[in-house]
Amino acid sequence: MPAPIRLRELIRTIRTARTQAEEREMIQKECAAIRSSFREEDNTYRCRNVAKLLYMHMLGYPAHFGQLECLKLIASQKFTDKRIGYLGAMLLLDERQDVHLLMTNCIKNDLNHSTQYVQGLALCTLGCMGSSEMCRDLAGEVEKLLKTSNSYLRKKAALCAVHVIRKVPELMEMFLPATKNLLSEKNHGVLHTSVVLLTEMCERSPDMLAHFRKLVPQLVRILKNLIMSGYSPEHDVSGISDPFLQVRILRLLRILGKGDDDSSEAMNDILAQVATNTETSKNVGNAILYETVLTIMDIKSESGLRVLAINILGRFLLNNDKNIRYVALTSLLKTVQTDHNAVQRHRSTIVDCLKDLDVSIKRRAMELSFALVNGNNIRGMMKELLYFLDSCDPEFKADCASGVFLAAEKYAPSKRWHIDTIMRVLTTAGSYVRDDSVPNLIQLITNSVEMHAYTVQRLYKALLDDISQQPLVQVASWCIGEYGDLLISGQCEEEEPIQVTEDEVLDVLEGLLVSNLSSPVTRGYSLTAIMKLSTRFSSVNRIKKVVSIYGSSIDVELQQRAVEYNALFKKYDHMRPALLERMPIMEKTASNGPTEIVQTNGEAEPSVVEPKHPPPVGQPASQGNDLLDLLGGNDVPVIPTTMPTKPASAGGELLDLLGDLSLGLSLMAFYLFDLFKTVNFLSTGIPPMTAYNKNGLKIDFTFERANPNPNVAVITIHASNSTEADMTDFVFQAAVPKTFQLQLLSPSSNVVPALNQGTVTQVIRVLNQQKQQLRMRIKLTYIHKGSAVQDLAEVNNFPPQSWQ
Amino acid sequence: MLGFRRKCSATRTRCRAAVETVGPYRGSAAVLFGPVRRAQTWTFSVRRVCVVAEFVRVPGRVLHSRQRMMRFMLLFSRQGKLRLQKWYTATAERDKKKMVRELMQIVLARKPKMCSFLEWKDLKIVYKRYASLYFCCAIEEQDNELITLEVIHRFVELLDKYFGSVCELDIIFNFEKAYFILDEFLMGGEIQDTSKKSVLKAIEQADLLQEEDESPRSVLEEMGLA
Repeated sequence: MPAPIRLRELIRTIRTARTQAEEREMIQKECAAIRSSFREEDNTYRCRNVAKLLYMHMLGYPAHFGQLECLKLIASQKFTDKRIGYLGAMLLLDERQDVHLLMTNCIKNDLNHSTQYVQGLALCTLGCMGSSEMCRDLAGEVEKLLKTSNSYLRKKAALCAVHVIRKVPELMEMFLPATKNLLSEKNHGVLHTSVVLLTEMCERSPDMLAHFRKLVPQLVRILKNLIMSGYSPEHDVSGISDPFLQVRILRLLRILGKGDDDSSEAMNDILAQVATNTETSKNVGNAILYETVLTIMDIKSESGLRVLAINILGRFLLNNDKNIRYVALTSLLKTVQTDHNAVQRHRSTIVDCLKDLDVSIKRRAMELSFALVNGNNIRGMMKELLYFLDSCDPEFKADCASGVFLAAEKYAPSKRWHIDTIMRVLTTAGSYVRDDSVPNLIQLITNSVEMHAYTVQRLYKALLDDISQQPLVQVASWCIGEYGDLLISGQCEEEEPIQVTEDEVLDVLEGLLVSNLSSPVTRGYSLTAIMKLSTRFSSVNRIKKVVSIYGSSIDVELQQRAVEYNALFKKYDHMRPALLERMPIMEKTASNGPTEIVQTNGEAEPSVVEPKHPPPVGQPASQGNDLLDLLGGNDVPVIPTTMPTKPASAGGELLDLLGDLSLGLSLMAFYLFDLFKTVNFLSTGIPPMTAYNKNGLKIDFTFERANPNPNVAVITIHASNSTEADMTDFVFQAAVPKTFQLQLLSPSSNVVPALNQGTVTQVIRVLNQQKQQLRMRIKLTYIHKGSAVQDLAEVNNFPPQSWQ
Repeated sequence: MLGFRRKCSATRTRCRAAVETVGPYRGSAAVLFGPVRRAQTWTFSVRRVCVVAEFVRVPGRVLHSRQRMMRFMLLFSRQGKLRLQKWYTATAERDKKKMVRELMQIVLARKPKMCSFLEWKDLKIVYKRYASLYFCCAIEEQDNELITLEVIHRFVELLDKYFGSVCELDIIFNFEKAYFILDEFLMGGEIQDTSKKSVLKAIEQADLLQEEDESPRSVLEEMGLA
């Protein structure tokens, strides 16, 4: 058999391949040759073949069939064979293949070999890929080598011990005696690896940590010698003596000093020395300073030292080297919570980093800038961040926009500022904001009553400029629909009022309906807005026409809306003004965060006290639960204030409810009641139930869970009367088993009007600590047509959600 | 051979079951394999598990499952050809290939103006370009990126000294030498020696040893031929 080609020859040949296929073919041919050579147990060329296989492996071709050959090479007597064999083992094998265990014995022999380079190979392999089985078997040998005087072996043994401890932590104690003299070693290799070993032990066991705390003075001395000693060519890196060792010692000091006053005290001076004496013109010096800063931040250091550390990072921010700026931003981000004020001092530099060309630095700077926003600097910071949002790459826009929303919600100095900021975000990065920003902004606008005229005017202008930003267009349509009358009347105090006519406004909204840029949702918003304007504008005929056109739209959603609105025009025109009445103020929910928390910042405008409820005409002071009465008896059907608990979709739901309203309902009281039930169902997710229905008296229950205490179920009863005569002196009583506690609030009235012309409501609160199935006995007494009626009933069919 | 392997994996499965019963201490599972594998009976393995569990449970003891070290080092060319790879944690071949491919794509797409660090999965990547070659290290969250750059630079210096103004071709044709240098400089992701001189001395002497190997063999071969 001819001698196989040499490694370099093969590499050269493979590199001549012009296509991937050609290369693959060459390699397959060579692999076949290598396999047959392996089969013949050829000892002479095994080394060469394995080396070739390693090259092919790097190119991404399979080489697993060389695994056993590596083991044979390791067992060979020749150094060349061993060298390639161990290299191959490290590349082709790892602890997840059982074959590696076959090496254990060879490694054991080699660890006791007479040549230090063979011992070195064995140590290196064990330290790279030794599995826990191997480590257990060979830890004794490693420990022996750790105690030799040969520094070449000692440094390798120390790192090998690190690996053993990582794999089998309980073997740690075995190496304890050998660590005694490690730090008195002069050789930097041994010193460095010893510090690594000590670090590993301290990190893994608090006992070791306590034990090694006594080494702090020694470590401090070594570090001092390093920074004080003159030039030593062997360990010098651009004028700094052994930076690798310095960094390692600083890291060990960090672990030793963490949470320990005495050790921290002992290293304060040296840390200050390193921080002030290190030459910072090159990367190495900054690497040491960076490690020093991390150590100062982690141990119980003096406050002066901490300020020094933050200032070092501040100086890093001004460095020309982008890597150092990045590191500075990352570390400041970590400390911003603990040393907020110190970091705050570098705000302007951090904000400047937003303009950096490097995306990694930009991102860090953005995160840090948001962390630094507070009530005092919100206006300035937001200006910078909004400018950044304008100019930054698309990948930042989403994060930046939601950061701005959060910060604005938390620290907005005024309502107007808040609205302006959100609108600005929507105009510049509208397509990147989260879905819930539209309902959030709508809620914010509704709640700032005094800003309505201003907002609608601003939004109208924005709409004239650009109709491509969908979220903005949606908010604008909604607002124009709601506050169209304010827009026309031109009564804006904040700004120069604009003069627009009704037709101009309708032109814009109709433009949205036909524009290709509009999404289906936007079209829905727009159509509803047009519909609402039918009660605010005088041009009802034009609106009727638009609505009827869309009754045949191919978009089902739009069609449904249009058909419903059409029905409202035709059959229920008398109710239209009431149904399209302005939305009441929505209640805030916890998820929305406190908007009114205005920091005491001097620049805040006096926050306006807003009325809690809209002032509907002729409506007595009432609670949410009494609204049914109002709805029934009054021609101002206001959507109950308790309704919009889900701001994320509040707008949409309301519209849908309006849709439900206009379809096939005959009795006003009934459908309002239904509406209320649906509303309640929507807001709590618990379906309503009928508890009693006899002799024309019907009692329905709707449910709510009290927010602060989930064990309390709030049940609202609704009594209605379908007979021709009123029921007077109506009394509802309820009893529950002993495990529950029950509280009956006073009823809205004691007369249940005839012909379902109204309902009596009453609230029951049930405390259900054990979350048992709810059962209730009810007693009803009333006078009907002059005779007293009394009835008892048991209610067992509560929906599970009401008690679970 | 095959028989051994089968036996081995059978015991291992049993160990896994034993380890799984320990539940919360699963983090130390790897630790347990050794004694359990050697244990002949089920009861022993369970007891052993408990002992270790107690070791872990001592109040205040924190066992870090995370390891602080370099995870891997890659050398690849501007064209996206891998030139050297060193993994310091056990990783499946398939995952290695996937990670290498992904990382090359990300690093090669970065512009020269950008900084040398990037966050990737749970790792920090530190890379530096020297002529046509990218040197790329994966380190962990707490590691010092700046000193890692120095580690890369030191490795380049070592290659440069050894080959005498190193270029990509040197590393392609002498990849095994590059590995030997790397293994003499780093071990398990940590620096072995901070002195260039002693690393190079060790390499040179090992090379000498290899030459000694080769010369008597050719003599033997000649004799064999004769």
